[in-house]
Amino acid sequence: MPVPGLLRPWGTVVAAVALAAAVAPPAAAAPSRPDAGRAAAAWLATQLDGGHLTNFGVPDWGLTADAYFALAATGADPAATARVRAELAAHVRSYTTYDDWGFPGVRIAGATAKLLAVAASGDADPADFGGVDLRAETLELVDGTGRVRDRIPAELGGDQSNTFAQSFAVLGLARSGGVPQPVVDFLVDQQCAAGGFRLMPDASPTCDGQAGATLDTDSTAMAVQALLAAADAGADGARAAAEKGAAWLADRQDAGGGFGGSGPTSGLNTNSAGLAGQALAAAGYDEAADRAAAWVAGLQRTAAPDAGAIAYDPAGFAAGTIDDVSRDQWRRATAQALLALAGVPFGEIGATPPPTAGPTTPPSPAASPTASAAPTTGVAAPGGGGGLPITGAPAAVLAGVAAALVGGGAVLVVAGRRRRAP
Amino acid sequence: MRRLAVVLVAAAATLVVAAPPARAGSAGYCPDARGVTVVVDYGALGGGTVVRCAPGNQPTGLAALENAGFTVTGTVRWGKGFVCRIDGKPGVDAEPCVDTPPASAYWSYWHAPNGGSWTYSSLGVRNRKPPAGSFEGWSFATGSSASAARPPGVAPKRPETAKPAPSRSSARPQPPRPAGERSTGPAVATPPAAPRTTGPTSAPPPTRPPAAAPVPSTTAAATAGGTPSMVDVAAPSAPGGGTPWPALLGLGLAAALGGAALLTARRRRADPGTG
Repeated sequence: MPVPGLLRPWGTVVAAVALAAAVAPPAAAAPSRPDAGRAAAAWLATQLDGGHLTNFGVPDWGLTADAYFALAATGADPAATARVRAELAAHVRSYTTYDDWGFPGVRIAGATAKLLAVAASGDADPADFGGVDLRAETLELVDGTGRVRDRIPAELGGDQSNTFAQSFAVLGLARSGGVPQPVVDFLVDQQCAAGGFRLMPDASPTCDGQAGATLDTDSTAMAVQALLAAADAGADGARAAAEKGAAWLADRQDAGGGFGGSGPTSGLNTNSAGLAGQALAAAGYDEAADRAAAWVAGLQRTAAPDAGAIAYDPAGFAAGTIDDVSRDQWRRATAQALLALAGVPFGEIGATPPPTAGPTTPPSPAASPTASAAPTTGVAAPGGGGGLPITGAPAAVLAGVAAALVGGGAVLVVAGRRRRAP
Repeated sequence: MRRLAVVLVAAAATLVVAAPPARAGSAGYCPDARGVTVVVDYGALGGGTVVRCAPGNQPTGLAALENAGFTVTGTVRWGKGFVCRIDGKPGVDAEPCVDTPPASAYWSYWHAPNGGSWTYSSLGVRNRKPPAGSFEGWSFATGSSASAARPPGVAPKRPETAKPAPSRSSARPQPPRPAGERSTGPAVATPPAAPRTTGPTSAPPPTRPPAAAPVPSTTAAATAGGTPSMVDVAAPSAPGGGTPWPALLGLGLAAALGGAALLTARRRRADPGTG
């Protein structure tokens, strides 16, 4: 599949990743430092409390989802990867709602969409993740403008959804059967003419409509990757926006390879560099991605104790050993920083064969049976036109096949891979 | 008995910003580098800026805040890992403190070396160990959709011991002057005219989740002036007689003293037998 502009041939890369995954975890075709990435993920696995990470004793499901992406992107510890995924599946409601605290009816868009992206990046079934149809629930949260919104009553804080939630929704939907075009369009609207994306969509419908909008590295890196996945699923306008975003990111790179965020996080840090490096790799900026990875690797501990851990910033690295107070920051930094080392885009993490019935399964338009609030027009589904299929089965089929996959893994893996390769 | 007394005192303490005996820490700047000075700028919440000292070594930012005598309420999801209220503000009507508060109204966390400048903390309240002699700052950030956090409106510098504080300020946690009197420094806290929802007009670092500030981020006028001389409570958020803060404070002080007296009395009575 020819890809215009700076983007590398996407299909080839996906195929290569898929083939490599037949015997090993997805190897990055992009410039990367897989050994350093695996070391970082292996350290992160040692930080797990059972199957999850905590924030000073409190289960942190968002961070645990980050750990899942980190483990799956590197393939460092398949057992830990499976454990984390099972733990997330067992705690969907703890993350996506306030049910645990006796406030029924709440739905958090960012959490729902992020878990959908988790479920869509591996052998899990996005329509039955711990008994929850995350694809349907994500679609239910899409409003008339294509934006995913929290359902949180005002007295409990109200809607706080942002561009990260939108990106995870686009990514997760694109990888689980197709993404409605309005959901893609709303994300594109968060991009200013300069190419960067803003984090907070509330000030005006579009980024350019907001005077002095702050463009954010991390938001842009997420959006670029989500849009590339959407483009592969056949969405309109997604690839051009992704290329523009990637160019903006490349311009933001520090001479030493690092990236800063925006506002209070504008100092060079590995969180921003991790996401930006990953996005640059996804968009074909190999040299820039490699420099980002090198900068991140320079902040990685290489000696015991805690070999593999990555500091948040040079100051944190210079502080030396990790103590109980600083450990939380190292965990958070490492989970995201290693994405630059792994060099595997979000759209390809866990790109083992999708749980699908076979090559002839038609793409599913508006797969959600309950998506009353969801846009019903223009679902960009994979498998049509020129887009390489990312996944592509109706939710109901996915559910059945997932069960089959769990039981009969290897055979279906090979079969699915054949389908994936052109 | 004792339980009742404790409850009473706790209730009194929440009413008071500068309660003398029941509170940890001490009012005003730390006298030397052996403690951590904590500055709380209530901004649009009303209540001015409060400076207190957490004496001695402070293992975390949370410990410093509490050991300086502030009451911290976390969130249901995160506990005290996320500071949601300080001394009861914002109130439950404005912020439920269930999950992470919105970027448009939250306590922003800052730190500074003595004599240095405020830096937005990239670390959580439990992730940071304040160095001895340093400053910890809390400033309530408000904005419309995406606010601009501004540093606390007090320069992070301990007063020289030899030099008396200029004119009006009081180094003692006494009930302040009558309503209407503001700190001597340049407008320190919230810009007087700014309506609550639009947030501060000057925007040094934007919000914690790096955000699109609708506010033109021009100059840091609010903090540009030298060292304001307020020590404990100053700068009512509304111009003129907006909040009768000092009066409230006096009342609170009285309540706290009363509570303490009650506690003492009851303790004496309870001491012999009850556990």
